[in-house]
Amino acid sequence: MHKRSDIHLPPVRIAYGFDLSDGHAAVVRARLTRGGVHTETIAEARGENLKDALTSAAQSAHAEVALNRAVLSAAMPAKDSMVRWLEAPFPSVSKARKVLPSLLDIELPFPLESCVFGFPHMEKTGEGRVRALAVAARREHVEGRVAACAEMNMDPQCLDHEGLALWTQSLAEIPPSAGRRAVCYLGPDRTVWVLGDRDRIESTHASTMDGATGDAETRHREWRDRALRILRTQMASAGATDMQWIWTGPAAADTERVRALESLLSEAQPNLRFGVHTDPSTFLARALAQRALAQEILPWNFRADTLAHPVMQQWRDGAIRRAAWTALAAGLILCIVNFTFGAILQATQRQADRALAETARTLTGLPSVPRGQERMVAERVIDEQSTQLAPFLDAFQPGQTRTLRGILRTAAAGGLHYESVSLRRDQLLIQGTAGDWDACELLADQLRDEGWDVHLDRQDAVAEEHVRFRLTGGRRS
Amino acid sequence: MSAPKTSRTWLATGFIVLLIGAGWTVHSLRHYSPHRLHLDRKLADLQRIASYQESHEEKRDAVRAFDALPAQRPPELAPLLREHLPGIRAEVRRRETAAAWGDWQVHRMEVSLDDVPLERLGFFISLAETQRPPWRLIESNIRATDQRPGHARATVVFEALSK
Repeated sequence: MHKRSDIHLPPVRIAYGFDLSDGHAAVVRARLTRGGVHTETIAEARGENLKDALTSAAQSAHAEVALNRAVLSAAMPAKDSMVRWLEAPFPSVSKARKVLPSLLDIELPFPLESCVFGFPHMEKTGEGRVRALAVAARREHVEGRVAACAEMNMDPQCLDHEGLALWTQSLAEIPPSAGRRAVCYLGPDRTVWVLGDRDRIESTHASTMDGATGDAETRHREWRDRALRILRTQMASAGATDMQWIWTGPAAADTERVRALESLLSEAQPNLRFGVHTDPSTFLARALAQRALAQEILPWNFRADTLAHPVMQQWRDGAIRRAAWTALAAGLILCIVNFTFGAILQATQRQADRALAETARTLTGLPSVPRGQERMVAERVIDEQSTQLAPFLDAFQPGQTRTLRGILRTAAAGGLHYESVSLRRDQLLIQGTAGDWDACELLADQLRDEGWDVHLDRQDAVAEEHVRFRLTGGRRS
Repeated sequence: MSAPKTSRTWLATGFIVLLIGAGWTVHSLRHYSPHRLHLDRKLADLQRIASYQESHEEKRDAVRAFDALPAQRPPELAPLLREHLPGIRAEVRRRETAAAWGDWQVHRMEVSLDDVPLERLGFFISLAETQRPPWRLIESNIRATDQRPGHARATVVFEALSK
């Protein structure tokens, strides 16, 4: 079974689509631009000598593929491959994935082991089941198709499913409307029908003109009968009454033939709405090229695992190598950044440790200070030293002389008479008498200005003309 | 070893290195905050000790100023009193002595003056403070006398550094 990663193509901006039928071949080059996908038909040939007609297109494709700029995609014919919807009775996709091969095996008329198969789409249904679109082809048919392409000097990296390519391209060019749709690919030698409802593909059918005899009208009637069998079965099972029928393929460019077929179909099935895709002869090649670029809706490639194209294997190896180098480089960058960051952090810490130890040693005068205790030791030593050093600093501070002289000067100027003056480092007591209370206030203000908190008490007068006072104070902290 | 196997080995190696790098980054980020806090604490300690050193230097400067004085003992107070306050009865008494930085000591002297004119007392205190090393007034008790206005009985305490 193909894994999703196996079917993915390189993310290139150019893709070649190669449609090969008996008697017709077309090569379309699609280029991804900012404005969207630009397609260009670089070769289209009809008749016997297709190989020569495709030489230039093959060389162009090979050259761009060799430069890893492009991929080449061809189609696995619907007659040699199949699509089926399967339903697994599990609500889990991962569980369903395990049983889907067995369910597919039941549907196949040949052993699963001889097949290339996969499930490009899986969805959960409302009933707790998983629906999966299965795609399969016999390995020998895939190898045969690769060989057929090789005969045309084409070596596709992708072998898409013809039915899926026709369906998704049809929806891309004519958006889905309500009701059912049949995409009818008319080749020179074969017809492919892809049937679906709205945007959902339901089945693919193929028919060749091998063994057809008689005139054109007889062959057309035989063709119509085959088409109606397929159509009616589908419409009956879905309970549908009408259908949109869209022609494409190289023979759809033949309007006379298309009209004749439409007329025959309408006789038997009147509720058909006909339409034709633009440029129908290169439709499939266009579809293949665009699907190879987008790889979004129902992506598929039969060339995977042992059938994988060597370029694809190289590309996958290259992608793995790039991922490996990216991871390695990212990992190394992270390691270097972390190492540098750690080293800077450690160096900063060592620097801080050294500076701290050195400063502590200088400050304390100790030969060494225990690590981590620098501040504690320094504070202890500073405390011890402060007591011894305080008198030196005090010597430079203004002493009590200024205060005392101020007190004495005020007494002389304000008519104060001190009975006692007691002045210490933090305490002050002055007792005496004054001619008036204002003189006492003046003294108190002066001491306040010098940084004392003073309290002035008025005491009983000794004589009428004198005020007795008591001034106490403490040094403001 | 086939090419894909080699590629896958490189891929595994790359992812292991990436994992190590990512793990290391997570480890670094988780340990950054404690490291940062530790470093901030150290720097704060350093700043604090540096500020101690600054104020300590200021004190050392003061010591150096004293060390640089030509005399490292202040003049005795008794001769000063005799010289500058003649006729005033004075008593000089040694008070406590305490150890200071290095070989320096702090001496305290108490001077008791009986009936001293207050302006003469102020003059004497200023005189004592201008000595080198200086005497510094730290305490004073002045009590008025009944005999004469402007005179008082004073007890002053001086402090000085000396070796």
